[in-house]
Amino acid sequence: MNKRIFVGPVIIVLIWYLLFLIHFINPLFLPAPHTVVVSFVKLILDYSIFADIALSVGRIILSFFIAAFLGIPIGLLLGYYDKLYEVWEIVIDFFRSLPALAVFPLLMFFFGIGETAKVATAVFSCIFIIIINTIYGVSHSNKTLRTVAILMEARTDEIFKKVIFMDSLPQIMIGLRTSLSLAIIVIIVTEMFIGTRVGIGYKINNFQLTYRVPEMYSAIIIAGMIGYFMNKIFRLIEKRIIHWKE
Amino acid sequence: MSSIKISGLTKSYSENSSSRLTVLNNIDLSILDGQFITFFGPNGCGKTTLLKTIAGIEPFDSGSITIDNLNPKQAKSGMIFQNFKESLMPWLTCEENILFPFHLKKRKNHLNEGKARLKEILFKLDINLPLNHYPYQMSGGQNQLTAIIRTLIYQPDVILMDEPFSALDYQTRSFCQNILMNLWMEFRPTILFVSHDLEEAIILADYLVLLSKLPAKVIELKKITLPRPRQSNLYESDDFFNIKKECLRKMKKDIY
Repeated sequence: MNKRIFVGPVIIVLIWYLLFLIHFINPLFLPAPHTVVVSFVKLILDYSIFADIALSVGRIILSFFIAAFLGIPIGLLLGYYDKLYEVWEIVIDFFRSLPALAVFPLLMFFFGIGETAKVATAVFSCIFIIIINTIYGVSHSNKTLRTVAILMEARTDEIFKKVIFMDSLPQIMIGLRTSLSLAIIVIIVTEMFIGTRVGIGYKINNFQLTYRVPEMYSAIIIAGMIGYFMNKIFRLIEKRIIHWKE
Repeated sequence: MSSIKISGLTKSYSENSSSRLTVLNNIDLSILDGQFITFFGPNGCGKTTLLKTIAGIEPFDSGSITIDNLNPKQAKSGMIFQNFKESLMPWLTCEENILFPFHLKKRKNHLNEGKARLKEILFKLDINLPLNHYPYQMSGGQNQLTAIIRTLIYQPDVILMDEPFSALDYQTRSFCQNILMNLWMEFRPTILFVSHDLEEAIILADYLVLLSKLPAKVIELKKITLPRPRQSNLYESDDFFNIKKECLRKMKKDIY
């Protein structure tokens, strides 16, 4: 493993220690790193945090998959039929510019304050990124390859499946990767403020409200680790799918 | 005997709402099965457009093209492009790219035939392609040979080559030209080859079509009588030099 990847985190911890030692920030707001480590270990040993992690990860995965399941086919369709895209262009551009949390009240009307609303908010924020990237991938897929396939007497569905879809996969994966990061953010934020008692976002908010600052930092670190590892896993899957890139 | 007949072919593009730019002007050509025809003309004279109309992927205004008495859309054409990076599927290996035509519904039942044909081609041409490599792992020459064999393998009525070696370095280009000549001698496909390199156009051709600057028309259809097989030392021969001189003289006002 490349040891250099640890240099950045070590520098951050050292700066943190320095800030703590010179009392640059009130220790109530920025406790010592070792205090956070102790609370982190305690949090892990109290297995209930794993229920929070599991539920947050579950919500993220669910919303990501729903967005991908809906977004990719829509994107493929709109990317292939440019006239259809023209019909929906303004609608897509409008909604993708809208912060998901701005429509959360609206989604609460439809889905209540339970699980569905949280997942729907994350789906809303992800789906347009997936649609746009898929449209871009399809509409910019290699025209020469299409011509090659046409001359080989490939049928339209074969050209779409074996050429256009495959050629647009790297761009679709970019959309998926971006939307996964967004799903993580949105789920944690919705957990912080909206109707739940389980989830890493809820924990962060709860620790903050009760002034358990070291625990709050520990929960933030866990949230960061969830994002980091989910992105890592996604990258591994992406590398297997897009295996032809240098 | 099958053949390609082009008569009175005219093609123009609209420049704006009121005017059109004529690219091909009344082209007449008659090509016999198994001939190697090269097209030489100044840059932007419409050589690629001509190939695309023959392939049936570009409509034309007037005239007619028949390939084995079929119109270009009905006939089976194969095309090899200048940019080899764009014409291979990067997600397929060299072998999968070559056998791609046999993974289509139309030829799915003939996959084994395709594999046998690939073996035969590689054996007869005595070339070694890294069949398990992806295009990004291969050199430009290997990529272009992959594209050529992929086209040859499904036996189109005509193979159209649009400056296929112009993006290659000198050595690789000579190597690929030799392979192409061997391939043509061995399998005798009908090849229409566009080049902006006069020496290349002469050394490869049975007949060399000299095209004028825009709008392209045929200046001359010249039979190249150099003996085959042709080696690179032919470039130094008097015959070659005379042909080149004559071509340049005929094209004087279109080149300079």
